[in-house]
Amino acid sequence: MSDDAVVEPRRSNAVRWTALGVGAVMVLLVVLLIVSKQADEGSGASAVVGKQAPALAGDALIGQPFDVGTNDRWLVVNFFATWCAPCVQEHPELRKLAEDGAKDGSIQVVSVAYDDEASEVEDFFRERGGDWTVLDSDDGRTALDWGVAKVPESFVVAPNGLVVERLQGGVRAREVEDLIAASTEQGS
Amino acid sequence: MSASPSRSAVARWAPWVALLLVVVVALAVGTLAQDDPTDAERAQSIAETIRCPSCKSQAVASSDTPSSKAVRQLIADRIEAGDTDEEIRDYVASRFPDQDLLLDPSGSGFSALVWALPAMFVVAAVAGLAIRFAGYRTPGLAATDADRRLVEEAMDDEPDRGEDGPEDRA
Amino acid sequence: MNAALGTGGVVLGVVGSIGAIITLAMGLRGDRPDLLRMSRTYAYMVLGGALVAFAAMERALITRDFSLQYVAENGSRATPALYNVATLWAALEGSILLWALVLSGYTVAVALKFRRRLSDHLVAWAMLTMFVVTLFFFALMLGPANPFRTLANVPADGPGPNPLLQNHPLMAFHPPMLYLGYVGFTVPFAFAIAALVTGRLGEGWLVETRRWTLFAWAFLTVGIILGAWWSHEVLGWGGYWAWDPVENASFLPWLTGTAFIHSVMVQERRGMLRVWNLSLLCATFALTILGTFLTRSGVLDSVHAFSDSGIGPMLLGFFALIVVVTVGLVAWRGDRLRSPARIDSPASREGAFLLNNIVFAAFAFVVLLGTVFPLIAEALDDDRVTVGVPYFERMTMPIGLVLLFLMAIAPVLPWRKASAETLQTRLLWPGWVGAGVLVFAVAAGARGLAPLLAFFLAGFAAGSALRQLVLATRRQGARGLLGRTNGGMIVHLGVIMIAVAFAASNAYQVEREARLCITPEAGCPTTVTVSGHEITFVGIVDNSTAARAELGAELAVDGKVFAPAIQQFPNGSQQIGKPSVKNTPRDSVLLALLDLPQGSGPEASVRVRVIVQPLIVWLWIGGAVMGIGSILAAFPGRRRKPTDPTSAPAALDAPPAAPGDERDLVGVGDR
Repeated sequence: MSDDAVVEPRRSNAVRWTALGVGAVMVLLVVLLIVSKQADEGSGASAVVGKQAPALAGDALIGQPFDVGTNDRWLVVNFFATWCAPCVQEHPELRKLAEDGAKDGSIQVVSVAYDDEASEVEDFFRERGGDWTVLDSDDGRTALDWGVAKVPESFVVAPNGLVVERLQGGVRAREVEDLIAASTEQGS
Repeated sequence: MSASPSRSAVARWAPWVALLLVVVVALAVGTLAQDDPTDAERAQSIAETIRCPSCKSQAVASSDTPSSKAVRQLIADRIEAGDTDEEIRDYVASRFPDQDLLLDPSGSGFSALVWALPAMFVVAAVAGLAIRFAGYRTPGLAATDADRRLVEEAMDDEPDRGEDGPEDRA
Repeated sequence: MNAALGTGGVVLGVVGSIGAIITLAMGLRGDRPDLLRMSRTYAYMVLGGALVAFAAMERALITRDFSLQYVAENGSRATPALYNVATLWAALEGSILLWALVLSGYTVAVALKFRRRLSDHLVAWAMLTMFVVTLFFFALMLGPANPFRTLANVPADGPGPNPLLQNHPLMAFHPPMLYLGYVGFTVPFAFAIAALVTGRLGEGWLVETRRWTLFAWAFLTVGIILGAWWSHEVLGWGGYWAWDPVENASFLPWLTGTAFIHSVMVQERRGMLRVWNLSLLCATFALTILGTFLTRSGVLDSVHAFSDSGIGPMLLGFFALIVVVTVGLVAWRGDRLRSPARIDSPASREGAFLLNNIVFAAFAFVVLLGTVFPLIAEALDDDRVTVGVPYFERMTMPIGLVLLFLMAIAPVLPWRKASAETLQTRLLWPGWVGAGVLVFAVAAGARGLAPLLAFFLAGFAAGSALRQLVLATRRQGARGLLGRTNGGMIVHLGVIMIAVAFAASNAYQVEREARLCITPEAGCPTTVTVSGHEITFVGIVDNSTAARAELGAELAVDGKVFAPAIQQFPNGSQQIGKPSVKNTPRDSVLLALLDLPQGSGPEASVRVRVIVQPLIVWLWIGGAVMGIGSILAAFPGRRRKPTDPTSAPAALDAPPAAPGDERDLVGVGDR
């Protein structure tokens, strides 16, 4: 501790201003961190809503091959996987939607299996019911074209081929039917 | 330091010129003789710049989620179809407008700051340092010819101490 | 029982810290040495509290006391012993407990090291600062990060730690090492604050804490390298550094700490850069807290992030407090910090250190900016921006090259001023080493400007470091490896190994996915060759235990059998890959299964990813060399006599001074 005293007592405002400047920047950073939101989910914007529905080019795992544009009904395109728990949960709702829709011929459900095996999909439908068309995802191309990264996710497509709505997570038959009813009214 | 005056500047610089020549030639060979990247290499480098759509921060190239597999498949398809790297990246990004999938922030708009700020930082730091250096050059401290003569005389009395004297003692 | 004991320990820590703060404050106010000397007793008390809490938690984990929420959430009956002990730092609350324990340990170490000088105001203020920090961490454990919360309904078993954290022994060592480093920076920070408060801003306090900083830095280095090694062995992508926020949070204090270790030499030798060195120490400590906040509060997405908790606001508040106190003190004492000395020429050792510091500061700035930029963009521009690996790689590559260049030039530069002739003679053969490495790399088939530049500069820098070591050992024998300069050169060699391995493994990685069958068929051979290595499918092995199912494939790499596997833990549906790595000095072959092996006997098949990366193993060796170099640097090297002038050579025949108490040599110690 020999040299503690021998410091030239020179005034230096540069040091002061720099210190205060750095401090101000740091305080700004702190304020920013306080106001910043917790990391959250996306805004829900979609690449396909309001546009012509992309093709469904996958092979049929169950039912007839199918593509958008070849129908005159409302279409619910559902992306699912047998390994995903919320997909299992939403399955009864899809069944209800498919059955109700088949009655008056107003709504048709098509599922796209996401990263799944054909045998698993067959077992899934045998076990849990449902007889609508299930397509494979064409090595994930279909899902990517529709902008699907997580399942379950569903899209409501109008008879004219325009995608009307994107539903992230499990669907409820009621909501979809209301939505279609509302859109039909608007359109007519 | 102890370079004898008999050695000419040419002799002193010759090994350095040779060194420079070797380095430049080797770098040129190593850079110019590069093969064009194969499709697989291209796909890999594109996949490294796209975030996996269902992950938090991993790249498509380093995750095994279904969405990453799909994107890798798409990249392979599009390379085969003859698309450019940019077209492929833009297409994938356009599929997920609610996420920012490109790991390389764009050079325009607000995100350009992330590139510009570090450059400004370095420029400011170097400029600040240069100003300080300029301030340090106090005229009174320069050695005069008389000083140099004094040192030379003193040095002549002592034996040569080898090139690494001062610093190794430091 | 465990909960009561643990909470008791935490309370003891809080009480001890508060007691110490009050006692020290009174002692400093009234200038009463008897009170100041009591800080040692308080330090023991705080350490005692931390040890009791730590022991209680370990006991709870080992006896599977699921009445503790922490054990119920992170422990399980089936977890093997090593991972069970390591579960203490597998989640947020436990890691704060480990932090508090290490911090108390450092506090006692400081109290012991300075036991004769506890009544010195500088030491007293440093102790006071340390107790404020211990108080903060113990208070966290009483509040939002309480590890001893109990459950009313005691479950019979727990889920166990994250499966990724329990399949490699490195996980048991990486976090403690990292914490020893992180927390170790508290000591120099405390002395910096003390120096500012007391106004004793000379070099005295620096010399006191130099070795503490060096050890903290070495632990942090080893901790970071162990983390990278773990990623490489466990994640199965051949990656070891992903510029993930948590990794960046550990890297930031390392960068500022490295800058400090260099620039402190300028202050010791020339008395310059006082404000800068103080700021670097304070920044290093503040960055450990900011990093903990960023990664523990959920503001940033990260694969490492622990679950959200109320700890965020407290950490942010503490960070703000550190910033305000530090900036206030520097602004207050700024006028006293001006150095009387001058830099004579940019082409000097001190000039090189200055440049080094600018580069390290820029490096830290880039890493910090890249890490928080998504938050800035969202707050100011309402836009979602991802800043990922490509950004960091592109920005840090030139910085790395400049650092390698400085490593080549700086060790041969004399203090004060270098002449062109000096550089010409001293740099010539290191330059040729670099050229030799470059020519060899090109001849061996390496291509691309950036990696080749890296190899050239790495060879150049290695030449400079070796030159110093050769000169030192020629003169002093094995002692020539000791001391800061020589130990530092060994650290440089470690860094160079890492730089070369980093460049090579990034640029020349070969990756291949293949399906292999025991009985070859179309599109499914038994053997693939990747980058000169033959990989042959031998058979399937089932290594399931009570804790988890495990199915592996035996794959022979150039004749030696490895068994990468896929594990399935009962608690989650998640499958965890367990890759295998064959390391040789030349390259590493990483094998990872893509799905569970199918079939059995001659029908068996498996899908495997093979990644061949050159020189990977030198990353870990380089880390070890850096650790060893730091230890050698901590030993006193050859000293100059205190009467010697600080920059001119002493006579050659002068006997080396006997190593004495370094406190007597303030300002003229070994480099």
